[in-house]
Amino acid sequence: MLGSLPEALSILFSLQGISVLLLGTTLGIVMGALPGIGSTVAVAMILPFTLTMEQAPAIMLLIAIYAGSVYGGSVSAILINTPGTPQSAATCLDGYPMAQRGEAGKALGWSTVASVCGGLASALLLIFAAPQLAAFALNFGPIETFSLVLLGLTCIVSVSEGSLVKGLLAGMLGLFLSTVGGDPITGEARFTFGYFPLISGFNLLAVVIGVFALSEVLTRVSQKIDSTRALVTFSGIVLPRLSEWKGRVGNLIKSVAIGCGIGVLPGTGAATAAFISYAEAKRSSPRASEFGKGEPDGLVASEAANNAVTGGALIPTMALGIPGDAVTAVMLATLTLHGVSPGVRLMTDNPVLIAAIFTGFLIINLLLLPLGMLVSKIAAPLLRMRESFMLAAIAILCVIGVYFVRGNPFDLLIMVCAGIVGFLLRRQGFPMPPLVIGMVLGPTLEISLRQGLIITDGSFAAFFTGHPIALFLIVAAAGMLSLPLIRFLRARRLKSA
Amino acid sequence: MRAYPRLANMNIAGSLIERSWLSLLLLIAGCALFASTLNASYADLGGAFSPVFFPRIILAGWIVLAIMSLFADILSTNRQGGEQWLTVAIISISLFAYIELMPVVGFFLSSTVFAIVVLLSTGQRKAIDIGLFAVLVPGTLLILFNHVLTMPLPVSPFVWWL
Repeated sequence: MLGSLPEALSILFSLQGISVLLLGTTLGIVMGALPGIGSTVAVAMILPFTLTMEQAPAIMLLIAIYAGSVYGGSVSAILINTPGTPQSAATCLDGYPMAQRGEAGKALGWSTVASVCGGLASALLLIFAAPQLAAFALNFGPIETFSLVLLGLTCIVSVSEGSLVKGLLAGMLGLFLSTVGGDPITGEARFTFGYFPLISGFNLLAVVIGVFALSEVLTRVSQKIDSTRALVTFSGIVLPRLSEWKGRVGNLIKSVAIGCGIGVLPGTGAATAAFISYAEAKRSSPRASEFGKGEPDGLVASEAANNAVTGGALIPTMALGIPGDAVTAVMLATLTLHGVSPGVRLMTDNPVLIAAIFTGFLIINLLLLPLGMLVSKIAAPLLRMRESFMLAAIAILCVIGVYFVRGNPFDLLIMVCAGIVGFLLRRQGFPMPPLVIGMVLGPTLEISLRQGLIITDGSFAAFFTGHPIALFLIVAAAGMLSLPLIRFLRARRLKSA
Repeated sequence: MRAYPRLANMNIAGSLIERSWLSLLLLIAGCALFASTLNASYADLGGAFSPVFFPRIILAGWIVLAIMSLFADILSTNRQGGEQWLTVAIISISLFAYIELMPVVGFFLSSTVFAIVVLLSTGQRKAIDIGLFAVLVPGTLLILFNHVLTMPLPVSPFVWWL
């Protein structure tokens, strides 16, 4: 691939190449920041414009939109507690409390640097280890995927602020909501009670926006609003100083590794990576007690991981022809439309194209920093409005965001109901992140568990024998679950001594 | 309160209900949903093939945790209060009206009315500020989505450009 680099660079640094990278990344950030549009819709919207373009610029444009939108999702998550994309849901946990404290610029600074680091690391991984990682991903069958998702679910323990029982119950609620609709194996309708719109289940983004953003609007109006105060104080991104990184670099590296690792596995996704990374950061951070109250470590963990997924997700797509999620499936379609056959021979048959894509991906991640700063500088004056006005604007943006997911009025109804239920649950001390984690991981957990049991003739014990990766992950999940208990017992012993 | 024992008992009961009603509701809902999996006529495929195999595991966990949550609520001493329930009710109802009206009268008109209701109910009284916000924000979003991004929001049946 290195031999094709000069030719690839000449494509990238042509007028068309530079325009595509700049425009694509900027558009991606803006679209990602608008709730509901998200990476898949953004990439699908731009797809028709790429049909008349040449191979390399067309694919570069889509990758720029993809990487830009994943980063852009964090902007609205931090500023208005409305995740632009589901993968930014974990960013709300510490980003929004920072913004409420008057540190919105700093929160965006942390998220931008973490996003750039995550994206760059995954780009390097894409360049140097794509074939090897693609081969490793093939070792992941349903049993290994089930174990990985189980490990992901243990992060419910970490994000259950206040009451562990209520956190776990909220997680069960999320898992249950993911089962409503058509059964993934038999196709039979479950829990629809004859109501036809429920057959396609609850839309994830509608529930996420409802329980995070709309419930926050209702919580705010339930308290006395100061009609002269702005909801967020923001005048642009403030990058963290080098000294502030002390003790946080390890967390960044670990989060990037988690994001890249999960990104390589088809069907897991950036939201899973962000929550697993957040849980691991909380477990290992010396500032664990500050998580959920605006701790930069939490923000770094979720943003580094979800951006690291972008490069990782491209590995099975390019090297094996297996799309990891809806966005990479659209990209796979674009490659095919441009006469490129993804698969094991892609890299040897199209070395210049691959070199241009991989190098372009690296440049896009470098562009996130200046373009992110530019976009937020332009958007800053809009956010200085008084709290009542901001709450009305958030509610309108929530409605637009959910409307664009499928254009289905039923999703809007779900969002409003999720908002009201979320408000009541929060009021009674139920944390909302476990509900979202349950809903995100539920479908993969169910399908992998059932497929695994079908493969092993119903023997769950067989999950532990002959599947070393699964065994390792299950042991890790058990460790994560028992850790709070061990800490509790240790603290009790110290107290009594 | 010692002089009015009945009043004190009512107060304790009210506080108990206020703390635990949601856990109780979740317990009832969990039990009802679990019961529905026993009565429903799903294909009898058995084991992991069954459409209710996974939901039953989840609902069993739900019921156990709801019981634990109910006990935790009963034993808890926390009390909430001081919420502006009227404002919450107005905004919740206006949200339902907004999403019902949007496909009928279009995004612009429904958003304008919704914005006015939210601003008035949250204490804003300056007519110029309210009017400008209620027209400018939906108008800008309509232009952005319908004309720049070509992702059409519902338009009004009365005036095509709204």
